[in-house]
Amino acid sequence: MTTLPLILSLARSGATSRAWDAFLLAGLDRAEEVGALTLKGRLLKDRAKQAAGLERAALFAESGAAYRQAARLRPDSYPLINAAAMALFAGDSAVAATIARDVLTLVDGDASQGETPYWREATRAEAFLLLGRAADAQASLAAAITRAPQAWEDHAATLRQFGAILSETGNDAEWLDAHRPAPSLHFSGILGIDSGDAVAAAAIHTAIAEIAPGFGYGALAAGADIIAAEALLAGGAELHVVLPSSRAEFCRSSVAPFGQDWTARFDTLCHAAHSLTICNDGSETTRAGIALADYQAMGTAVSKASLLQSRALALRIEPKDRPALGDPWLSAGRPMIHIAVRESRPSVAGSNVKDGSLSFFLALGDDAGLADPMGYATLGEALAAIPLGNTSVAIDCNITGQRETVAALLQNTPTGSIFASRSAAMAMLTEGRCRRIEPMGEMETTKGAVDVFAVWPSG
Amino acid sequence: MANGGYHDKIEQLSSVAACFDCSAESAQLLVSAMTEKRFSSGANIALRGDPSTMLCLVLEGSIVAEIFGLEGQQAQLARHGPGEIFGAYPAPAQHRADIRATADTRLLSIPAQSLAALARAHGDIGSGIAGLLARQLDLMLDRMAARIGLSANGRFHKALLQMADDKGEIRPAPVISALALSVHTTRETGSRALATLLRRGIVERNDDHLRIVSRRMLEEMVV
Repeated sequence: MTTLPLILSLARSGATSRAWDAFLLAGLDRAEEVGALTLKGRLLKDRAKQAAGLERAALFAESGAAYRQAARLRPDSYPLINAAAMALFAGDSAVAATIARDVLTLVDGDASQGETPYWREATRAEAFLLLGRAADAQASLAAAITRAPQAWEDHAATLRQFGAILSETGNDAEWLDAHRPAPSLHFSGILGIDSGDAVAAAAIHTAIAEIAPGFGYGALAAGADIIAAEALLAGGAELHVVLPSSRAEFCRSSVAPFGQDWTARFDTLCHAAHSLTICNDGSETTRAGIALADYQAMGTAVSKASLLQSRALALRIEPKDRPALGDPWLSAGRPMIHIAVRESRPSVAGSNVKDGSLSFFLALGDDAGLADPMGYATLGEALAAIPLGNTSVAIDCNITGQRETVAALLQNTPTGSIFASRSAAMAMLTEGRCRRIEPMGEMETTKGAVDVFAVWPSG
Repeated sequence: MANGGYHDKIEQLSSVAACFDCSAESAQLLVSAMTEKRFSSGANIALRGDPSTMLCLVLEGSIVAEIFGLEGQQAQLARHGPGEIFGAYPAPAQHRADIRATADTRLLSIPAQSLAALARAHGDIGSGIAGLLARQLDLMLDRMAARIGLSANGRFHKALLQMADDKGEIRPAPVISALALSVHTTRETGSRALATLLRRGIVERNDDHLRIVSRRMLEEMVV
């Protein structure tokens, strides 16, 4: 049934009403098939979340009925546990408990239930929670995490769902915090640290050991960046390097001028990194390019923390008298940790980097068709230009001034949705200007592939 | 071969077999006629008007084809990434654009006429070239239409689903670099995608095969 992925894609893009209309148009609401029923449960759940009062409860109940019907056709703990939770959100705790008991019976009686080792035990934990057996739920969740200790995305889905259930039942959710994955850290700092500065290195290593991040994001300029990256690896964190220009060009502009020691350490870290992202391949390092790469690194740290239901922190390594003014991280009010270091050598190379220009581009679709994209100097100005009403909106930011990407994005954007390139989506996350992003795929262009996200602006 | 030890050779064979969708024997014939070339980011590979005698397969990195007008204005004709081909086939020609590496790039090149001779002599190589050219045409049209398709991870996940049998098993376990290349992405992206599936328990690795533990979860990741 090829229409199911298309409708699911619409639902993911935030076009909830259009997804439901397409589902009805395809006659899938009458389908007696597991895939269609499971999607029906998902779509009704999405609609319930946007509704209020009695309509909300009714839609949750309908969603639960669809999931339950899917489980009747093929006994499966996935739709069945969803049916139980939907019943609770519909206000029927008795039905929720009945279905939760069915879930336990199914999981206990069939070793193949639960999809993966983690989900088998986590599903049991959710059933216990819906039955009000908090201690059993906590023990089962701990056991589930033990079975797949690095299935962080799955742990996060459980934490999100448990948070909603505990909120619905008016119970304390604080115990969930013990199961949250390690935080994500964005790091940056000054260039002017001597490669043998043991005092600065000790301060940075100590701070990172105290934060104990699971994931670190940043560039690898000589000095503070490189020391922080080494500390992250020493602590067992995943290192995700984001560079504003190609590896060779970045090394030429921001590492090598400070000495061969730094170059060797840079190369070692590039090889050891979990990922290496180049934001502007083929162009020289500019301040605008660095700003764009910073958005990418910060936004990815925020996105990771959100995906994993954990915290996002920033670490700034700089002299005490040089506050982080204008740091985009501050826009969202997220925590920032400062490590005061003394400049032990002059930052000679930084002054040789050209300015460049970072611009935000907005394209709007309306009844009259597609308007020409407009350019803005700041993200705030671009977002302020989005009109109220049911239109399609596309956003991009780049340092080349090209508007083809945003124009092409708009052609793919459903009415009522906002699609952003990765760079724009990460900038929005960094500045706290969107509450959610959802990956929509990759847009092929003659200039390369662009990752596309549906975004939901804050406020 | 110009470069590489045993592991490079294995990788080349797997990559060629995956991209040309041909037997190991045919991949061996192709690789024997191929030369590996490496270019740094920004390096010129060919200039407009140069003789074009080779068909090149991008193993890593990316290249762009650019033309420059009389006033010096630049236009990018095409960009080719992992698993894509460019150059001449079936006969030598002239480069119609400047070719430049936009990342550190690794290519396998084969003389156009040698490849044409292999295609005439071996049906699966001929069929593989037809498939490769058809995929490339699809990609070009997708790029002209600027259509949203699957992400690199999504394509990798879909390829795993397609390779699995009724029991969800993929035998023998695929060479990840070759599988990544066949879906036009990098070895690193493929390795990270598989590592994520393994740590979440969605796929498990056994001695000689992979097994999809949760087909539904993997299908949901085809985005």
